[in-house]
Parts: sequence; C-alpha cells; structure tokens
Amino acid sequence: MTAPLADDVWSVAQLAAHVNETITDSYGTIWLKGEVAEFKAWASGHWYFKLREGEAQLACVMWKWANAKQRPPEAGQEVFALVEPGLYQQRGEFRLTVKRMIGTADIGSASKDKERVRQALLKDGLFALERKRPLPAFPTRVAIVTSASGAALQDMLTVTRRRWPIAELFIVPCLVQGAGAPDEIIAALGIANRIPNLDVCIVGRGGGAKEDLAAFDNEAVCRAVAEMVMPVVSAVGHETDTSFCDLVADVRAATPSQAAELVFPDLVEVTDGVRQLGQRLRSALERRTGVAVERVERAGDRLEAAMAKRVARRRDRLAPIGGRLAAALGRRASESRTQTERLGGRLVGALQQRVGRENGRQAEQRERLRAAILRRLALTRAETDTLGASLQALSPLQVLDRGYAIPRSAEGDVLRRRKEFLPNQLFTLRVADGDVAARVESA
Amino acid sequence: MSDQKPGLGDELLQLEQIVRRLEGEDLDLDAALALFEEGVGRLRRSREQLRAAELKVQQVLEDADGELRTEPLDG
Repeated sequence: MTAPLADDVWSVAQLAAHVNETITDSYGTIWLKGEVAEFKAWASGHWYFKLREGEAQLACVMWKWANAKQRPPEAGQEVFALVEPGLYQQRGEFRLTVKRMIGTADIGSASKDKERVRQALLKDGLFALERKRPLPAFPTRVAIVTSASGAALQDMLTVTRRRWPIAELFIVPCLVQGAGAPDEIIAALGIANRIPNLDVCIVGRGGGAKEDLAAFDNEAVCRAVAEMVMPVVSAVGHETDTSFCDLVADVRAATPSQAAELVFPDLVEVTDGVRQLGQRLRSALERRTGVAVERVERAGDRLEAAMAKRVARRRDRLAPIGGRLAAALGRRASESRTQTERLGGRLVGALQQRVGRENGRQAEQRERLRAAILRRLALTRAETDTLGASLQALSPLQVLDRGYAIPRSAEGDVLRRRKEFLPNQLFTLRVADGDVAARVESA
Repeated sequence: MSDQKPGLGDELLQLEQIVRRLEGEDLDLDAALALFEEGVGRLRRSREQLRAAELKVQQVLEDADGELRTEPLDG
C-alpha cells in the first residue's frame, strides 16, 4: 500500500461542500413528480418526507415558511414539487428542499405543465382581481415591451398617433418567441421598470401559432409582469388567445391595437370635454353675475321705497310745525301768517327738492352699476368660444376695468352687505383708475 | 429623461370641481371670481398639455455597464 500524497487528500467538509455545490449548480430548482411517503410534520413546523416512484425515493424537507399556506399532503398522494436538490452536509444525505408542492389530483389531466404553472400563479394570488391597478386616465409616458420588428409594434404606433399624439413612447425591444424569449422579455420588463415616471407598460406580441405564444405562459415571465411598479397591459396574440401573462397583467387587451386603444384616450374627445368644461365655467359665472344684477335691482327698488317713506314722514312732521308756527305768529299779524305759511311752504319745498335730488342720484348710480354688470356679461358671453388671452383679461384684478367698483370703509375693509353701510358714513369707491370719496346718504 | 408637471388628470379633476362649485354653491362675488380665475388657469394649462404634437417614440436599451440609454427607433 502506498500512502496518498498530502495534496491529493480531500477533507470531509471539503468534499461535502463540493458535492453540494456540484448538485445545486447542475440542477438549480426543478419540478419533480412523485408520491409522498413517510410524511412527518415536526413541532418546529418543518415537514420531512420522501418522494417516491416505484423503487426509487428521495428525502425531502419543506421548511415551515414554504409550507405555511397549505395543508399537509396525504400519504401516497401524487404531487408536483418545486425542489432544490442538494447535500445535507451534516448527515451526508442527498436531500431535496421543497419550495412548493401541488397535488396532481388537483390538476386537470390535459396539459399538466401549463396547469402546474397556472396553479402556482393562482396559489400566489397573481390572478387576483384585488391586485389589478386601474390605468391612469391621461397617460403621457408609456413603455412598450415587444419585438422591434413585429407588426404588433407598428399597429400600436398607428393607434397612438391617431388617438393621443401627445404621448411619449419608450420601446423596449425583445424576442417574443423561441427559447430565448422568456429571458429577454424578463430583461426588457426590468428595463421598463427603471424608466422614470412611466404611467403604463404594455407587453405583448401579435398573433402566431400556439407554440409561438408560449413565452407569455412562462412562469418567470408572469412573475416579472406581476412585479412591475406601474400598471401593465398585456396583449398577446388574437382575441381567442389567453395567456397567463394576460391574466397576471392589470388589464388584458385582446390585441396589441386594442391595448393602445385602452391605454390612450382620444385627443379630440378630451379636447372637446375640456372645451365644454370651459363653457360651463363661463356660464356658471354668468349665472352668478346675473344673480348679482337681480340683487342690485331689488336693492334699488327697496331703496326707492325707503326714500318715499322718509319723504312722507318728514312732510308729516313738518306740517304740524308749520301749523304751530303759523298759530303762534298768526296772533300778531295776519300778514306774518302769510309770511309764515310761505316759509313753511319753502321748507317743505326745499326738503322735497333735496329728496328728489337724492332719488335722482340713487337712480343714476343704480343705472351705472346695472350697465356695468350687463357690460361685463356681454363681454363674458363674447368670450365663450375663444379662450386664449382674453381669459386673462377676466382676472378679478382687472374686473374694475369692466365697470365694477369696490367700496371700502375708512379702515380699508371691503363693504359687502347693506348693514355695513351706516347713514353719513364716509367710504371710498375703488374704481379702475383710483379711489373716489363717497358718503352714505341713506342706509 | 423625466419631466414632472402637474398631471392633466389632476388639472381636469380640479377644474371639474371648480365648475361644480360655481354651478352649485351660493358663493359671494369675490369667491366666485377667485374660483373662476383659478378655473381659467387650470383650463389654460390643460389646453397647453393637450396641444397636438408629433408622437415621441424612442427605443430604450441597456448598456454593458447597466446604464439605460435611449435612441430613435429605426423603422
């Protein structure tokens, strides 16, 4: 016997680690079908069992964080298991770490692989309606993940140009069929995820043979779609094709053209809606100022009535005074009586004249205010169809130019209500080119 | 690559609310004029955003060092 050379000797740990690495490197994570045997759920929550097929069996562990959302399998149950093979180095045992497990009986018989993916996505809630995010009403920055050479892209560009030419499109090209397609789609989705301030991402391709659409049923592709930070619209193939990608996306479009129709509003319609809002804005203000005209007129009527009452009151009060004067003086001389009566008459006349003047001034003011508001209304109406610069001229700051005046108290407060005007109170009227001193004749 | 302006959706939503208030509430003239003025501003900004332009289309690619770059889409 010859002793081995020191350099050729492996340590146990070295070999164990190396074997483990070799296994994990060569298998990664794979799906496995088998029957469950010797199942044990430990108090720790971890499951230990065997997957068996005929004479062959493999030891499995399913950690509690992986099995938390499901019930333990039955003994002998046939399952699909997503496993990571490796060496349990402390025991030197070959063991499968089970990430996910689904009973094959739960799955229809036809295309079991597709069903397995469906079950896996379903189980993780990726088809759930609660996950679906609404599309923004007015997107501006939109990514399209598709083949740069496909008809699908041209269709989407055509629709977008027609409907919403104010958009900014970011095309992230990728293969959409063949063996490399899933990886390229996932990479392209990753790029789209990094484009700043994207409103929506469209992912898809045009119609093709069933095998050509397979990349959009790929589990990893679907998971990448689910992880997008912005709403995703999926458009794969024709109306009759439904991919898992369609089901995971926030919105499913029947075709790429339809995706662009769903994402982009119609510029003509939106512009029209904005114009209508502008018209409503204006007519609401017109109605509002119309109410103001009515109020001014009503206030004017009340003012007139109040003045008439006051004149009558003064006349009533003056009459007896005149009479008393006449009586007192009448005793002295009859000619003085005539004088007194004339004096009384002059007094009443002067008062009436003054009241008349006041009335005239009130009417004049009222007419001016009314004319100003009507002028304003006419202007507003004239602007209904043109927005542009004339809108700026309607600024409250420039309202004075249109004939409005702002009454302010001596302290500078704006006077808004009748009760804020006291008889004989001084105030100022701010008109377009400055202030006018004013006094309350009557309140 | 990013340009942040107040979204068209926000402007139109606010504008709609202003119109509803002007239509529905008994506002005093000052408040009504102030609301109207705000509405006119939003209207103008909305229209600016809607001004028809040439669709911008660019291709996004990832460099070897992981940086994103854009280039015009050929074809």
